[in-house]
Amino acid sequence: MQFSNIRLVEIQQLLSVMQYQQTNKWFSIPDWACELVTLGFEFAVESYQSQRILALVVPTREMAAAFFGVGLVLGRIFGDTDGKNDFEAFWQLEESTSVKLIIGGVHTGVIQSKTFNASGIREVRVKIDKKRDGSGTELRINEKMKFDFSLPESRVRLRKDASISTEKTSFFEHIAHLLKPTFVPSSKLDCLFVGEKNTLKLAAELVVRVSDTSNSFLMGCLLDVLRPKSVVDVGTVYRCNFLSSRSNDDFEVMNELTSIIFDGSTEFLHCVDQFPKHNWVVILEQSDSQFQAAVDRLNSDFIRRSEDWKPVTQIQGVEMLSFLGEQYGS
Amino acid sequence: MGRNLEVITKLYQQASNTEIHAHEFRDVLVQQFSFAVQKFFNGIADTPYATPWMQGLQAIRKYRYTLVFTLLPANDIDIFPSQILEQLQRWRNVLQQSYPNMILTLDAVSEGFQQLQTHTDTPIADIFQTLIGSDESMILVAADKRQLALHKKALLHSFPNSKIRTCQQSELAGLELFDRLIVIGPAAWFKSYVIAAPRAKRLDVIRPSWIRDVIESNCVFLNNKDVQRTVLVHRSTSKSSNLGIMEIESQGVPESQEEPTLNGEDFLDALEVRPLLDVSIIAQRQRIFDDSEQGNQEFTDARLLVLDEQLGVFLPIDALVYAVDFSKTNDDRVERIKLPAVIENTWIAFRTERSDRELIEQIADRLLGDDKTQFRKLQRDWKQGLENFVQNKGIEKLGERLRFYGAQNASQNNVKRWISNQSIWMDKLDDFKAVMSVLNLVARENEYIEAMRRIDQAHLMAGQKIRGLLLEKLKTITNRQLQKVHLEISMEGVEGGKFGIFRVIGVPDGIVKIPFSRLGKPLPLDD
Repeated sequence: MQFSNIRLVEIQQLLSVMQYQQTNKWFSIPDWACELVTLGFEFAVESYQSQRILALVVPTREMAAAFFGVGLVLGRIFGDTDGKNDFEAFWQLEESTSVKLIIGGVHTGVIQSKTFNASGIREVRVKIDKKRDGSGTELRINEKMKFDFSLPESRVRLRKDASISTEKTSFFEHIAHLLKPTFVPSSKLDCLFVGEKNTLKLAAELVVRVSDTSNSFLMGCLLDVLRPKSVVDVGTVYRCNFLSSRSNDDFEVMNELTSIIFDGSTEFLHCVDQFPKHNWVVILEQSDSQFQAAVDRLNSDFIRRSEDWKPVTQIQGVEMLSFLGEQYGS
Repeated sequence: MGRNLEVITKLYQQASNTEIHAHEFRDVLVQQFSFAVQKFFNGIADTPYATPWMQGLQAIRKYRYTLVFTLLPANDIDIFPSQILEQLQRWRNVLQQSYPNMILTLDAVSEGFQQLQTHTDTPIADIFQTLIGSDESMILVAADKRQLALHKKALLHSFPNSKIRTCQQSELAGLELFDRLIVIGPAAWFKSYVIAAPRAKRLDVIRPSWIRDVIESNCVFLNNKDVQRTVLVHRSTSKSSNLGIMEIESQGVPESQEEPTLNGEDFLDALEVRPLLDVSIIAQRQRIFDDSEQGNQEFTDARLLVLDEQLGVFLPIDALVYAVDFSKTNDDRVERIKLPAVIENTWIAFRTERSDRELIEQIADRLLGDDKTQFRKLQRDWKQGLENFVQNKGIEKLGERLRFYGAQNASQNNVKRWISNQSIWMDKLDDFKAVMSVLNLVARENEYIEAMRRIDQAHLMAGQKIRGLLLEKLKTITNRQLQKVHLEISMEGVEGGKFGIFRVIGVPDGIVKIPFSRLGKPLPLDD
C-alpha cells in the first residue's frame, strides 16, 4: 500500500459516518461527493516541491468546488505535521490507551509508559500489537520525532478522555479532531475559491452531520468546515476565502502551498495569471461558455510541465488532468 | 440543495454511460437544392454582387438551413415563394448581362426551389416518429430560436399527442435530466456539451447523410487524448427518395468503422449550411423598421451585442452599460461600464420597454416638479430656434455663426446633436452662450442657463435613482432565477421601468449606423 492510500483511509472513515439532509431525512454522502472530498484531501496532504495543477471536467460544477474544498481544508489540517503539537497531545494520553501510529508505516499498539530518556527528552513507549507469527515489538516515540497518530477503536472516547479535546464543541473542531486529535484551531488560508461567491456559499450551506457518540450526532454544514474568512465572524478561525473572478478585491498574500480553486472556465481564464506559482485546482463543465479556451490553456501548460503527477483518487465520470508545474523558488 | 445531490449523482453516474444513436436520412430533392445553392453562393462570392445581394442570399441560406432540420414538409415552410422567385428572376436578368456563365447555376437553384414547393416527403419526421413511442421523458433540443419555433409548430401539427418537450440548447446546462434527448441536424450545429455531456441516458441525432459531420466524444485533455470515452455510438441509416423510404439498420457499428460511401465532393460542411450572423443586414433591417415608424431618422454609431436566446441589442458605441455581477455582494452588484468593456458572459441590464433617455426624462421631470413645464419650454425654444436656423440657412452657416460668437465645439456633428433630443445642452458654457447670441437671447441668457443646469442636474439624479431602484430589485434575485436565460424585473411606481437582464454571448466586430429609436431594444437575430 502506498503512503497516500494509508492516509486516505482516514478521510474515507470520516465520510462513512457523514450524512446530508434532504427534506428532514438523512442520507449517506453520494460516491461522487466522497471522491471529491477524498481527492481534495489527497491534494492537500501530499507535498511536493513544485506547483501542482489539477483540472477536472465534471458533469456539473454544482457542489463540486465545495466538496473538493472541504477535502482540501481537512487535508491541510491532517497533513499539517507540527511534531511538537503531535507530541504534546500524545504525551497527554493515558497509559493503556490504544493508538494507531503513522511512522514509517502504520502500527497499532498500546501506550505502555511515559518517561524521560537519558538526555532528558520525553519519550512514550508503545507496545505494538503482536503479529500473526506471535512476534511483538516496542516503539519509542520521543518529542524530537515526526509522526502522526490516531485512536483506532473509538475516536469519540478520546474526546472525553484526552484533555486536548475537551470543550471543543464546534462542528469544525469536532470534524477536525476526528481526523487529527491534536489539532489546535488556528486561522490559515488553505485555499482560495475563485468563482461566484453566492453560488459557492449556497453550495457550502448543505447541512451534514457526523456521528458523535453511538446515540447522537453533531450537525453542521460544509460552510462550517470551509470557514471562509469573508463569511465567519471577525476574530474567529477561518480556513479559506472566496474571491469573485470579476472583482478587484485584494487577496491576502499567501505562501506557495496555498491552493486556488477555480470554479469555472471563465473564472480560471480571468484570474489564473494572478496566481502563477500557487497550486491550481480547476473545475470545469462542458457547458461553460469558455470551456474550450480553458482546456486549451491547461493543455498548453501541460505540454510545458516539469513532471507528471497522478492522484490516487479517481472519480467516475470525471476527466482529470494533473501535472507538476514550476518548482518553488525557481 | 439536498434534492440537487440526487440529480447530480445521476449526472455523475451517466456521464460515462450515455448512448449516442445517429440516424441518417437522405432526401434527394433537398440534397440537390442544397448543392445548387452552395455552387451559386461560391460563384457569387467572386462577383461584385455578393454584398448588395446579401439580404436575398441570406434568405435563401435560411431556407436551405430550415430544410435540413424541419419536421415539416418542404412545402410547409414559412417563406414567401413568390418573393424568392421574383428575386431569382431579377438576379438572372442582371447576371445575363455581366456573368452569363452563372445562369445555369442560378437556374438550378430556381428549379430546385420550385420543385420543393410541391415536395411533401418528410424523412426527418418519419425517423422522429419511430423514436417517440415510449413513455420515457424526452426532450427535443433546438440549436437556435428558429429551430425551436419550427419544432414547436411541427409537434403541434404532426405529433399532437406526443409528450415530448422542446428547449433551446442553452437551457440544457442546468440540473434537469431526461431519459432521451433528440437533436435534429448535424452534431456540429450544437454546442459541444449537448453531444459530449448530454443531460440524458440516450442521445438521438437525426442528420442528413450528405453533410460532413463527426460525433466526437473524445477526452479533452492531452494526457487522455487517445482515450475514447465509453460512449456507444449506434448508427441507423434511413435513406429516402421521392419513391419511398428504405431503412437500413446497422446498430452497434462503431462510428469510425463506417466511412461515408460517397466521395468527398458530395458533402457539404455542417457549418456552411447554417445562416450567417451579419451585423450589417441586421442593422439594415433596423433602419427599415425605423422608416416605417417615423420617416425622419436620426442615426448614431452603434455596436451589436449578441445575447442569449438568439437575441441581440444595438447600443451606441459610447454607451454606459449597467453590468450586473451576481457574485458580488448586493450593494456592489451593479456598475456602469463602457460598452467596449462588455465581454462575453457579462450580464447586462437595460430597459426593455422604454429607452434610457425616455425613462430618465420621465423621472427627471418628476424631480423638477412645478418648474418642469417652464424649463422644458425653454429647452424646446432654443433647440427649435437652432433647427429653424438650419432649415433657413443651412447647418454650415449655423456652425460659422456659432464659432463667430465664441463656440469652441460647433462641428456639424455636435450641432446636430445639440439640436436633437438626445442631448440636454452643451458641455461647455461658451458653446451655449454662442447659441444665445445667435438666437438673440442674450438678455435672457441667465434664465436659460439656470433652466438647463436644473434639467441637467435632474437627469443626473434620475440616473442615480434608477441605479438605486435597479439595485434594490437585483437584491431579490435568487440563484435559481439565475438559471434562466434572461430575467425581467419591474420597478414599482416607474412607468416603463421594466429592465431585462441578459447574458452577453458574443460581441461581433463592426460599427453600424442605427436609428436612435432602435437602440437598446432586444431584437430577434434569426428573423
